[in-house]
Amino acid sequence: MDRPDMSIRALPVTPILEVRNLTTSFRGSKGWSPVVRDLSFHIAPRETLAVVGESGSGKSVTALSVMRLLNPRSARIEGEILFGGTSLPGLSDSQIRGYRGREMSMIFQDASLNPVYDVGFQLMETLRIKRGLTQRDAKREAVQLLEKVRIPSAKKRLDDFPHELSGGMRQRVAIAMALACKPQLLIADEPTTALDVTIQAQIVELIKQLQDEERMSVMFITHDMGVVAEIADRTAVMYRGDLVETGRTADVFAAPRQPYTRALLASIPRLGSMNGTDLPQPFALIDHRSGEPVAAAEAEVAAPPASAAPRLSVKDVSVRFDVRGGLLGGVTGRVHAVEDVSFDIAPGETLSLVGESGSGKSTTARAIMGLNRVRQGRITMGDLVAAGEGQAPRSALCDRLQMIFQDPFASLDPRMRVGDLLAEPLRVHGTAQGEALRTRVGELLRDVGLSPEMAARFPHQFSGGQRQRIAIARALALDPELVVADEAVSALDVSVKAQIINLMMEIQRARGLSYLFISHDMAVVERISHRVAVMYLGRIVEIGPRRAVFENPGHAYTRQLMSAVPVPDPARRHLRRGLAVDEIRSPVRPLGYQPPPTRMIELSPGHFVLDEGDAAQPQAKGRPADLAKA
Amino acid sequence: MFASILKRLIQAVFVVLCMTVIVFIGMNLIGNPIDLLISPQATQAERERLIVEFGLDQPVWTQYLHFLDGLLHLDLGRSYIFNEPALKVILTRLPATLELAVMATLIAVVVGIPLGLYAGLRPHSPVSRVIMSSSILGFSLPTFWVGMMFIMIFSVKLGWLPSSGRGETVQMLGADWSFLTLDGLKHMLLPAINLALFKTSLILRLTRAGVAEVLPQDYVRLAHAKGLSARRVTMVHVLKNVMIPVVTVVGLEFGSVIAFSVVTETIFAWPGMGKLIIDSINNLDRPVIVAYLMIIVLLFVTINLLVDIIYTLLDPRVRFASGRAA
Amino acid sequence: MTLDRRTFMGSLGLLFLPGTFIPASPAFAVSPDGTLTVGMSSESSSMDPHWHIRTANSSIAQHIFDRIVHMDETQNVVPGLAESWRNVDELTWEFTLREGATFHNGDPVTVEDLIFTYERAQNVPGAIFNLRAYLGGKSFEKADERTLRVITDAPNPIVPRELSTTSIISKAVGETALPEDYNSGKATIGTGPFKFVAYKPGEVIELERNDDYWGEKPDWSRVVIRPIPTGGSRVAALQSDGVDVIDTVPPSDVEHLEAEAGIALGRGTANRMIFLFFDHDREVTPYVTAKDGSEIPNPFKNQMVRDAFDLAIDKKAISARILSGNGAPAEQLVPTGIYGHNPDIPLRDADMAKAKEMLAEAGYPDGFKVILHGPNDRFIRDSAVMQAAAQMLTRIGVEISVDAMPANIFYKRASSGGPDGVPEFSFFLVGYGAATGEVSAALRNLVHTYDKSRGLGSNNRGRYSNPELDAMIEEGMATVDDEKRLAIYRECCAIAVKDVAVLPLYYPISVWGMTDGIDFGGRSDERTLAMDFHAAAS
Repeated sequence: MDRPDMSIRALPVTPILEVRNLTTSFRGSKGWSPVVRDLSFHIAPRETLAVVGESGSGKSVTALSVMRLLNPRSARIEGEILFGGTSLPGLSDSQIRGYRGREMSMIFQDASLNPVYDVGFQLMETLRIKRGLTQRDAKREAVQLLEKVRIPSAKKRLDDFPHELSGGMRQRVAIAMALACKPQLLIADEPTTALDVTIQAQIVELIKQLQDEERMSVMFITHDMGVVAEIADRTAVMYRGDLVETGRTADVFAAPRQPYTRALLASIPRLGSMNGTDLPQPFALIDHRSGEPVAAAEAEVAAPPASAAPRLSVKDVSVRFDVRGGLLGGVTGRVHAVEDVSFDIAPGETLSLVGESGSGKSTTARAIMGLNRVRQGRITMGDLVAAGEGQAPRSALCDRLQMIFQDPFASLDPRMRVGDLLAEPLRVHGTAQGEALRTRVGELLRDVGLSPEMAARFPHQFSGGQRQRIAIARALALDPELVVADEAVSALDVSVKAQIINLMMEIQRARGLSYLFISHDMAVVERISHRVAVMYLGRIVEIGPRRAVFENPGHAYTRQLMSAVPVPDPARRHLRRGLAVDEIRSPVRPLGYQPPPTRMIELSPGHFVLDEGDAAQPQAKGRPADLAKA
Repeated sequence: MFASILKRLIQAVFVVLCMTVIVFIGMNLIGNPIDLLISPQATQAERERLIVEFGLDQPVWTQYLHFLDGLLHLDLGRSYIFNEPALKVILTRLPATLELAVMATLIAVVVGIPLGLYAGLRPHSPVSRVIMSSSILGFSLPTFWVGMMFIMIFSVKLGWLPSSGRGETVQMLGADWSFLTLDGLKHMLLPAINLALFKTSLILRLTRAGVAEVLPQDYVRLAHAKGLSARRVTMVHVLKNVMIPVVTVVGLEFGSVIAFSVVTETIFAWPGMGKLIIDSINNLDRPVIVAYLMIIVLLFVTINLLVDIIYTLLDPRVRFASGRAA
Repeated sequence: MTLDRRTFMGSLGLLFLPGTFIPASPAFAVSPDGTLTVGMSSESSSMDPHWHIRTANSSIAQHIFDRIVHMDETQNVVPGLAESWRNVDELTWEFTLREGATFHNGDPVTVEDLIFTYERAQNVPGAIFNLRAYLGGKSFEKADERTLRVITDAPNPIVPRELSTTSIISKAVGETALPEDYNSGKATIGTGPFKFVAYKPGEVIELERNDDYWGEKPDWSRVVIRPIPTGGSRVAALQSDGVDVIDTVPPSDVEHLEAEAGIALGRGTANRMIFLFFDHDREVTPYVTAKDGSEIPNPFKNQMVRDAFDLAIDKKAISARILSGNGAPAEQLVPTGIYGHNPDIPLRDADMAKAKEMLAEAGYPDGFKVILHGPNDRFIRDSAVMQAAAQMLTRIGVEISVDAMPANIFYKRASSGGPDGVPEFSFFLVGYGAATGEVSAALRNLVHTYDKSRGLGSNNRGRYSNPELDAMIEEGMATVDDEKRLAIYRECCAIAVKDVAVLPLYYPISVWGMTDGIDFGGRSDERTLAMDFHAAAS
């Protein structure tokens, strides 16, 4: 049922926050440089404004400027900020402190609780100091707040320390703290970015509910357009310190005016956009300056030859880690990180491994690369054994198997030039020397869309997306058959993500490369995969062609995953999914536990689902009709 | 947590045992104490007799086993020089060193932490710069020179404080302590400050570094965002996190203060253990050296253990590390 | 962080500011019958007088206990608890106990106490050095109520001196005393001018005057002795009135303390000789080679070489400049005033030219290479003295390097560091001083041929051997008549010097510091006794 739109339409209402010509500058070695330029927007009471932008857009700085949390020695704020009519920049330090935590609250990306004090202390601190409650009253109120944010066994949680709670729990506590004084404005700076997708959905849901219950406004900062569509009444798009476009969310999504907005929207992977197609397809990107489509990408990637022998074969692989404890530090249990996993990857095929944290997907990838010891089973690449009995030495596998990592900043040695980084594998394996080496490096750079002159530069001189390109080039240096991409695009901005995905598909087409693509992002996976495997608690719960799995998910967990993905379509935002407050479980088992044998049921050719029998399945509440549509 | 304590205790015993072996071998290589102590007039027969009496003619491992046996009965032998049980010789001097060490650590903490805090909170103020420059002096100036300077200025020129020795003592718990009398405190002040100089600089810089590391953390920003006063953010949220490494260092340094206060004790003629060990080494008073090293090893191990426990109490993340499953 | 240079220099300057403007505080005068506070450079290791013969222990013991005979400032024998003694025959001595001497607990001193003392002193359990060296070869008997008879195995002219080393304790107390009782004071009962009050190791020794003392009563009603081992601190304590007297004033402080008002210095030439010793024995000595490193026969076996060395070293310069006057140049085994000193032996001036000539004549016109060993922490400025001597020897063509090491290592090697446990070094610095206060100890222990069985030559690390000298020394040892013996010993000294058995460098001069108002005559045995310090006549 549609909620009546409470934003500005009928009566002119005083906005709770009005920002006019805000310019924030930072002091650098060359004087003051503006990070946010001439920003103007407003938030009405009981409204949610989403501030969207990629890294470097200045959205966080805007929030910090409003709260005046920047260091006055190194940051300068110009312009006007009116909160309920009062000018904030004009207030003294103690006055603005009075506003913070009371009239306006803020939550940050990773909950940022003080690790040495327990939850109760930090909650009650706000209550005692900002609301003047007594110790006893504060404790009671704290319990109530925790219950409000839907934390189970609230009373017991008061004595917990932040590191004992999961990311989602911590964020709920942070929200509880922010709500302690019933603020009029809640600023949320990327609160869900660090969370798993199901948890993210829960938190977004929670904020929506609380906004309603507490009758407050929310300024929601994010880069995820799906979340924007879920939660925001109005949207402001920022790019490099400028406000590019602002308006009602539905309008912005349906009819973006600015080229940048259009480019941004074009690069969002939308779940369901590939319905009806069998093969992966590159994104149809738009240039953010001109607004015109980028040179049309090639058509779909070819399908892998049907009867070819698999490039990679994983059979019955298990990886277990010991858990130590007790008086003498003996083994008390085992983490069954990967349990009885089997799959094949054909030449030129992309298989995606999807799951949340603790599902075992990264462990599987590392087992393939030989970084984790395989307890049981075997992994073979053609005639060589990659893991398990009769394991071949790493050097033999290098020219067949390569890996790209998640963090583009940590995976390149900052002290080596790009050219050396790319030359290293070639030199080590004696593939090329001298002039031939240099030429080869240049070719590799061109293959990933960079220029050969860049070989002389250092990694820190490149952006995140460019560094990931370099990482891909390095992986390609030895001309491998299979590349494992472990969350290779997760840390990138939205537009860059799409470009890299396109690049990977292009390379696959050109070289007949296979990918093992590991991700938690269902929408991206939908684009790039031929086949998909869903993992939960160390097992593959569903595996099959992408179309089959996405359009016809057989396992409850797959369905839950997909329903949790935020849909970047404002028209669908009012569907409350009533998700449970569930923590992601971890597969720790006592010693001597015998896992039940794996049995897969074939739903359609090539599409298998794990037969759970009577075993517990993750619950997903909500109307079946909605779930099916996701 | 008990598992780790037990493990540490076992490790400690092992360390002490290793220590005894090392010390024994070392002592044997250095020199024969007989040569040093004996009068030049002594006859050769006399010399031989003494060697036998001290068991120095027996093979090393026999002497070592003797020693271990004595250790279990808390008998660490008799000092060659003092004609008293080695353990008693050391323990008589322990209170003096202990109170000096405690006083020095107290001064270092009381001066170092607030100054370090200030320097970390306002790194660019002129006061902070002076503080940091002075701290460099604190650990570059040799203790010996500073001690002599103190005596020169405060005792000889100004006549405010006594130049050496220990003041009046009061008996308590079977030992003599001088911090309970005014005269005793007067005597203790200069050596304590001398000893504290290095520690103060250390703690100061450590605190400042800790503050510089903690300040940009997210939870500090959140505390500000909650609208808490700057004072509360500093004293409650920042300080506890900064204290964790500082406490660890203070604890470990305390052990070294006790063990190596030699220079200060020698200059100020403070009758403590530090001076004793140097004299004993020079005189090759083997039982005392060995007993001293045993006590120091035990001391260090105990302090390490205590510091670990305190660290666990301060930092809840460490507390639960072993107990929780992945 | 970047360090502002100005801030740094400014902070540094702040440090030095206070010291310059403040004048020294005035000294207080001491009064007779008051308390004398003494700052000592070394500490007594025990209150048990028989435990250890060290200068520090003996100094303290002398306050509390008497001996049967005493030694005055120049180590001449004077009556102690015995008012007279005589040599009955070659092997027998008799000592007559004085009347009226009592222990601090009131008991009178008896001959039984004497006999008990001498018995016990030789058998202190665990003692590193016990008095058997001085008390051995004697048996003690009670002749009558007041006479002690001492019978020696062989004629021994220095029995009184030897007995002067042993403090007399009470039989009644000492019989049942445990070692700890001496430190706690329970058994520290003597007959001396002071009574034991308290002893805190490393901290303080307190004594009070014995008003029933039979001898000259000291000026002070109380004496407080505090160990202050660091020279600078000791001097500072004197200057700041923490103490009234200090011993062992460091050479560098002598000059400015002389000049300072309110402080006076007292001196005494110690009966100790610091010298260089040669390897007289081995055919080839390990640390001497030709300049090109090849082996040569031991040059020190040639008397001319030794003489050349003796001529080359300027002892006056060493005493005056290296020791800043804290040493007197030495030419023989004992200094003036000590029994056995031969006044006819001259102190030669250094003569480089002649020394070089002699060396050439001895067959070493190009010199040779030698290493000089010695301790670096035992004698005052020992390293500097060795360096100075080395430099002087260089000028006569000897290539010499100095190897100084900590005393405990040095002595081990010097005594037995060579193969088969013989002395290791070829040329080394060492010292010798005798508690008996006369030359016979030096003669029999230092220059007599090494004879382990007879206990002779125990300090003869150079293994010098001169049978003629040996015979003469042994003759002297058996000559009871003082005059005759003196002549024999003087002759021995002359022979030893002529033969350059050792190369004497200096006799240390002990320097004491005291506040104005205290008189002090100095001592030759390096002991610091409160009885020697007198409140100045007003």
